[in-house]
Order: sequence, then structure tokens, then C-alpha cells
Amino acid sequence: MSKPDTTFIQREGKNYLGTYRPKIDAKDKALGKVQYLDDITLKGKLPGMLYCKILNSPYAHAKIVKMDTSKAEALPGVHAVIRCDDPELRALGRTTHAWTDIAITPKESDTIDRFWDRVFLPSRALWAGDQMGVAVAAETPEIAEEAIKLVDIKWEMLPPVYEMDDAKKPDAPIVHTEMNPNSNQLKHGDDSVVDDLVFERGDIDKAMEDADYIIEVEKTFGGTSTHGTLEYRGCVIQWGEDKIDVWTNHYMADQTRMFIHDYTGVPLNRVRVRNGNSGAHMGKWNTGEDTFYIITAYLSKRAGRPVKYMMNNHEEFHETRSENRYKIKAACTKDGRVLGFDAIAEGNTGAYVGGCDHNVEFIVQETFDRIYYPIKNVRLHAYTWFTNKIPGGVVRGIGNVQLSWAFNPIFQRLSDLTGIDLLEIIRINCGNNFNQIGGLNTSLDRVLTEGARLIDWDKKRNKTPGGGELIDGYKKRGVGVGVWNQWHAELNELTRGYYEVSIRLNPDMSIIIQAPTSETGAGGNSAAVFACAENLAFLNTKPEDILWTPLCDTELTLRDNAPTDSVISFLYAEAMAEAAVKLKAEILRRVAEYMEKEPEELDIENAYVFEKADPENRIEVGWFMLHTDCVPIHIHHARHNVNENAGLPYGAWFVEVEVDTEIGTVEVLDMAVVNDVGCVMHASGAESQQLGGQALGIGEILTEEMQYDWETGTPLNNNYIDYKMLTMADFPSVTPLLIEEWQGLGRYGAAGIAEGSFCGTGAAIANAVYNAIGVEIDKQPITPKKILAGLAKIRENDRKEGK
Amino acid sequence: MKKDKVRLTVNGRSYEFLSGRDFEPGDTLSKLLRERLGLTGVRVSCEQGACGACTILMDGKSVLSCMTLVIEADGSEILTIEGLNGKDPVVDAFVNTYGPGEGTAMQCGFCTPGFVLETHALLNENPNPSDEEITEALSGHICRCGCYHGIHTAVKKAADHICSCEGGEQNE
Ligand code: FES
Ligand code: FES
Repeated sequence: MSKPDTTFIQREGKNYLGTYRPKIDAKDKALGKVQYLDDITLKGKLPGMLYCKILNSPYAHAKIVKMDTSKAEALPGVHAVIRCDDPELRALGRTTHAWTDIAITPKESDTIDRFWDRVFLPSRALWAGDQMGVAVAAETPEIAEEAIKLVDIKWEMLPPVYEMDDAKKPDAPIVHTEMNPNSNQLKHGDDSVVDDLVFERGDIDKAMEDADYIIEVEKTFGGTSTHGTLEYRGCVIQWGEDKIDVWTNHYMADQTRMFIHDYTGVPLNRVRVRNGNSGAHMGKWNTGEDTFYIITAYLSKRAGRPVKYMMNNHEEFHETRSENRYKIKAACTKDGRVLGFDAIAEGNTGAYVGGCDHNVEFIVQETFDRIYYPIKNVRLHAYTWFTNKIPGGVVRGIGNVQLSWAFNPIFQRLSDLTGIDLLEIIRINCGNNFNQIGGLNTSLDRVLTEGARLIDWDKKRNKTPGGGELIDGYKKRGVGVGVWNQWHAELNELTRGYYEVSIRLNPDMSIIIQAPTSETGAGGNSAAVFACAENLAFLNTKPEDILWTPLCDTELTLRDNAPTDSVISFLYAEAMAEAAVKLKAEILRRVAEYMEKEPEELDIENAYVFEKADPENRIEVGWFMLHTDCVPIHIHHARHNVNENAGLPYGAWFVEVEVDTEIGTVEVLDMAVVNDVGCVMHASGAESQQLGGQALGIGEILTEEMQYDWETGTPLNNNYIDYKMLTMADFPSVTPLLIEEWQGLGRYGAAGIAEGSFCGTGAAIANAVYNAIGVEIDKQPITPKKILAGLAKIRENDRKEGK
Repeated sequence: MKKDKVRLTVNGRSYEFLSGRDFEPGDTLSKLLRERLGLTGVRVSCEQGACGACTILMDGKSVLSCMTLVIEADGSEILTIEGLNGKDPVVDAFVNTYGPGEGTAMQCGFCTPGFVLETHALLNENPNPSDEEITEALSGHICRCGCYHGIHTAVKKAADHICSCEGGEQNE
């Protein structure tokens, strides 16, 4: 069957921005010319380079009581050993991994809640894999590994705790005594929080009284999946006499510079950090800098050589998507309205905080405004618990993926109770206070309408759950939906402060731009080039005339910007539009001087400066530059986001699944992904996000699941053979559709697409499974075991009811 | 297996490598190609044969260079991504997959050389693969950015291009 035409149609026609065209670096990527950290730091390029290895704790909760490193130190090829009792390291104090994000601040000041729960090389391990105890620098990775094995350690085993409900118990072992000596609960960042009540609006008790139905759900998502990127975290650090040189694949060089400055005391102009392309990001850098930077730096200082640290495949399983559980009571009416939510949000943050608190506090509160604005009465209690599990971190779609999983099923329940179509229930209850026409959010309405059309909702959706026909005697099909808001418009990115771009116009009219960002695949570089060409139409500039450099260098380039979501695509586009205006003014100023006119008397078109009153009197810009001084014209521009709320647009995910009722497997047959992003920066790139995001989105729901040995707390499948990510064979048919309905602020007014490309995927699959077989899965992932248990329960109930 | 000397042709150039000087007996081919020859288009990720990033062609067949010892490759002809150029029909197809509904054939680009070379291996054997044959041939590779749809489209484009060129020659 041929697919419907979903070619993206621009609201406002543009030449380059928002069109279908190759990524600017597609050829370099296809030819393997793009370089990643390991490529620019081959040993041959940095003579004398050593390799760092840090001990990964074999135990989930244990303390080093005695350590003998003499054999490791004596091993030929070992140049430096640093231990947990090292006075210089201990003097550094505590550090944090709690979302330093793009809000770069020095150690002493916070723009967001940070929790000082980490130390560099601790003597106590808090999860099986914790980087702790001892680190070495040696001539080869093999020698470094051997040296770590030669360290003789006497451990004191401490009782571990893994689950939230155990961590709460009064007699539970305390994981972070320094954070909270009496309990495993992470204290709220906001001191004014009383009784863990973090948010309240309206009158939820009254809403419950007024309700015709009270729907209760308990949903859990997280703790089971990870980033799975092909390039692993790492750095090379050379601490010379008066300078520190750093190469890294961290997504923001300037943030790394601040971190290293904070913990070494070396002035910012003497810390040079370089990064470049990154073999995908998937959220892993959002939590800020790992302790390995500082450990590597001090090893380099001691050894007097450059030292390289790279995680291996096992170590790359360094965090999981934070495990969150939401218990929600919804007060609802017969006419399909939700009057209020009374929610308890909890997070198992594992051994350290990595944004988990966000998922139960800040993002939930935001959600009530961003998508559940029509629901007037809300109460939210929140808890974050430390355990000895692998730390919860930021994975692409932080919090929103979990929240979408938890909240979307409420609307299905309400649809079942009222008999009102699910899409109608969503239209009634979701949206924000922008883009409203007669109580209906136009962005939400568009994505729902288009998605329903693409998946053929009216025809394929079973009228009653499980009511579809049996295929081949054992398979059933169903169709489901999930909705969520897109992320990150201007207002949500204020903490970036000013961001810089530059345009350098050469005398031959070729152009070099700086729009420094680590290219992770999100395509901010392509968008910057297209935006530059778009806005230099007066010079006839084409994308091919523009060079974007992949290097961020805190010494030589402008300050770089973190490529979270795909916001860099539109933030740099906005900045480029403004920089182009400045470039035009500067060309006019220089040519006016030459023509002995005032700039106001002139204009530029087709790369000619002409006199408005006498267009025949004109000079070609290229000629002017080549025949005067041959000096490139260089424009620097710094922009700040508009501090106004314009709401956010929405996305809808529609899925058709087939469930094998005998062995419990779920196959995604078809998907329609519809995103309103306000303004598309690069149609091919944006659709690539809509398509590609489903690999992670579906993987997390159906195939990816970390397994542990609970006797020891050891992760068992932390490698890419046993941790099953989707391959081409598992990837379903996906139809992407881009929409420009909502309008944000700025010249273009866009919202991100990369991070929000699969926020509704999990909810949609769960909903489709429910539609297929009538089984509601509460805990991600959806496994055959859970499907079969659900089916067994239905049969049992049917039997009891004598069906 | 013990070998003091290994002869390889890499991207059309002949090399002789000495054990102990150029490589250690336990060294993988990926290490030699990257570190000794600077061929960084040979991407190394999992080092356990799970992801396909390190794929190269050895005598026209795809091989995981992280799972192959240098000594096992003695006498073979090796092609890495550096041996191709922008005119290569597979590279061209990967670059020029960007149309409506196609997405792109890469995002971060880390996995891309492996997919490009695997496509060559497939098309060497089967110039006109079916959809299922493409999927089967490429399913040993992970693209975490999830560009499977774009990659599949690119492989079809490359196959169409190669077939039409071959057909064209026959007609002449
Ligand atoms: S690096 Fe060789 S298969 Fe992954
Ligand atoms: S393009 Fe990023 S892993 Fe394939």
C-alpha cells in the first residue's frame, strides 16, 4: 500500500530554511571524514600520551578499609597512581552531577538546584560500577587495566538498598549520610517546601467531591534503559606548566572549561577546551561533567604527560533513564472533563542525582501549564530517593517520556467510562492558554486530526478494547495514541544567556560562519548555514558558499552552545538573521564611504550596492572588496532570547500494533508521528528526528531492559550484545508529518523537535496494546511476560463472571 | 597462529607490517588501521562485534575489524571508507537521501562508514536486493540515531543507480 503524501508545506515560503536538502556535512559523514574525540587524539598525534583507568566498584555498597597500590605503582609502564586518600584530591571537596546543563555558573552560584553528592574518587562505592578508590595512568590501556587489577583492596561490605519502597523504610541503610543522615530522601531544592507538597493550584479536594468518577493510575517508567550511543564519553587532558589543554566529546566546551577551572584554580584563559563532533548525545551530557575529568587532570599533572580517559562499553552504561513512579488520582465528570489531578511523584535516583528530582518536581509542574492547562485543580507531592542502583540520569526526553506514559492512560480510562472518543477527551482536557479558538487548542487539534487521518483511526481503532478480530487464530491488532507538548521554545532556553555567532565575508564572497556547537546529529550546523544563506539573499549567497567549522575551542572560537534538543537549530537561526542585518549595514557603511554617499542613500540587491535614487550608480560588493583592501568583513552578534511566554505546540503519536496472544510479543506495524514545531528549520533533518527518535522510543518500550543480579546489584547486560537496541530489522514503517500551526517568538518562532520526537511513543504503544487486547501495562518496558500475565488475568475475570 | 610479517593491501596501497614493531600479535585489525595508518573512518565502538561500526571490506566481503586479528588478515585486500570518494554511488545515495518522508541516512555520522561499506558488500553480491534482503544484510549494524528508514532508502537508491548503470552499459 502506498503511503499518503506527507510532504511538509511551509507556512511562509523560504529558499533554504525549512526545505528538503542534504545535511551540510552529509558527504563528510558518509566518507568517514568527520572526526570524533578518539580520532583527533590518536597516540601518534599526542606523543607520550598515557591512558587512564579508574576502578569500577565491583560492589553496590562497600567501603575501602585498606588499599595497597604498591604492585600497581611498580608495574612497568605505569606513570601515576592516584588514590582515594590523596590529600590534593580530598582538598577539592564535593562536586555535583545534577544537571549543570547549559546554565553555566561557577561552583558557588546556582541557577538551578544542584546537589553536592559526589566526590572525586570516593572510598565508598554506592553502586556496582561506581568510579572510585583508585586511578592510574599508564603507557597502554592494557597496562592501565592490569595495574588496577594489581591493587589490593580490603573491603567492608555495607548493606545495599535498591528499590524506592525499601529505601523509605526506617531501618533502611542510608546511602548518602552527608546529604541526609536520617533518611534516603533527597531534600527538596526549595527550602520552603512543607510536607513534600511542591505544587498546588485550585481546590483539588473540592474537585474530588464534585467528581462523577475518580480514576486512579499508578505508572512507572525508567531505571531500565540507557543512552546507547556509539561514541563513549572521554577526554584527553594535558596539564602543562601554566596551562591545561583539554580535548573532549562533552557537548559544551565552555561548560567543561568552567568545571575544570573550578576544581584546579587555573584561570579560565589558561584552560583550553576543544570539542567537536559527537557520536550522538541522547541526553548523556546534560548532567554536566563527570568526575573523570578532574581525575584525569590530576593524573596528567603528576605524570607530566597528556592522559586519555575513555569509557568502555560497560562503563558507558553509566546512568539509566531515571526511574519515576506516578500515582495519580483524577477527578472526572460524565461529560469527559478532568477537574483535577492529585498526584504523588516519586523518583529512584539511584546512587547519585542526575536530574531525577526534575522529573518529580519541576517538569511535572511545567507539564500542568504546558499541556494540562484546562485542568484547573492540581496537587503534587514529590519524593526523590537514593538507592544503590545505577544513577538515574538525563536521557533524551527527560521526564516528559515518563510523564507522558503516566498521564495519557487517564484519558483512555475516562473514554471507557464515558463512551466519548479518546481523541475528543484529549481535545477537551489538553492544551495551554495560547492558540485557543473556542476552547480548542489549534495546535493540539491539528496534530490529532492529521495523525488520526494518517493511521486511519476511525477504521482501524477497535470500538471496544480487545474487540478486534483474531488474526491467524492468535494475533490481535489495535491502534493507540499519545500526545505531548513539543519542547523548548525561546522562553525555556533563557538560562543560556547571550549566545554568539559570527559571519565573515571574504573578498571572493565566500563566507565562514561561527555558530559553535558540538554536532551530535541534531543538525544545528546545517540550520545555521541555511539561516545564513536565507538572510544573505541580498548577496545571492547559497549554502554551498558557506563554511561552518566543526571545532569549538575556548581559546580561538566564540563560546559554544549546548546542542540540547534541536534548539540550537532555531536559536542560531534567529541570531544569524540578526547578524545578517548587521553585515548589510557594515557593507553599506564601507561602500558609502567609497561612493561618497550616506549609507541611507544606498541599498544592496543581487550582490550590488546601488544608489536608491539612481540604481544605475552601483558597485558589485565582491569587486569593492577585492579592489579596495581585500579585508574580510567580520560581524559578531550576540543575542538573548525573548523573555515572554508564547506557550508551546504539540505532537501526536499514533501507533498500530499486533500482539501475539500466545507468546506475548508486541510488534509495531505502523506509526504516524505528527509534530507542530512552529517553524521548521530543515525539513529533512526534522523528519529524520521524527523517524529516528522512534528507534530509542520503541526500543525503551519493547526491547531494551537492563538486567541485574540482585544478590550483588551488578548490572548483567551492560553491553551492546545483551542490551537489545533496535536494528533495521526491528524498525517499523513510520510516517512523519511536520506542521507549522503554532507561532513562537522571534523572527521564526520555532520549538525543538529532536528531544520531543518520541515523547508520546511509549504512551501510544501502551494505548495500542490496550486497544488490541484490553491489557493495560503499568510498568515500562512492555514485555511478553507482562502481556501474558495481563491476558491470564482477563481470562480469570471472564471465568469468574461466567463469560 | 604466529606471524612475524603481515602483508596487506589497504585502499590500493601495499604494506608490510612487522610483528613487535608495527603490531602486537594480539592486535586487532581496527587498531592497526586506526592507529598505525590513521584511517579513523574505521570507527570503533563496542569492540565485541555487536554494532558494526568498525566494518571494512576484506577481499570484497564485509568484516568486523574489531573482531579480526591483524595476523588473520595477512595477504588480503582491504577497503576502508577512506578508499571511497564522493563519486561512489553508495556514498552519493547516502548523501542524497533527504526527500519528503525519507529523513536522512545519518545524523551523528558515527555509524555511517560501517553502513556504507556493508552496502557495498551487499551490492557486490546482490546488485538488485529486495527490501527484505537489504534489511537482513544491514541488521548487524546499530544506528542509535535511528536512521534506519533513511539508510534503507539510500541502499535502494544506490542499487537502482548501480543497476541502471550496468543496464546502460549492456545496451550500448
Ligand atoms: S566496534 Fe566492531 S562491531 Fe562494534
Ligand atoms: S547516525 Fe548516529 S549512530 Fe547512526
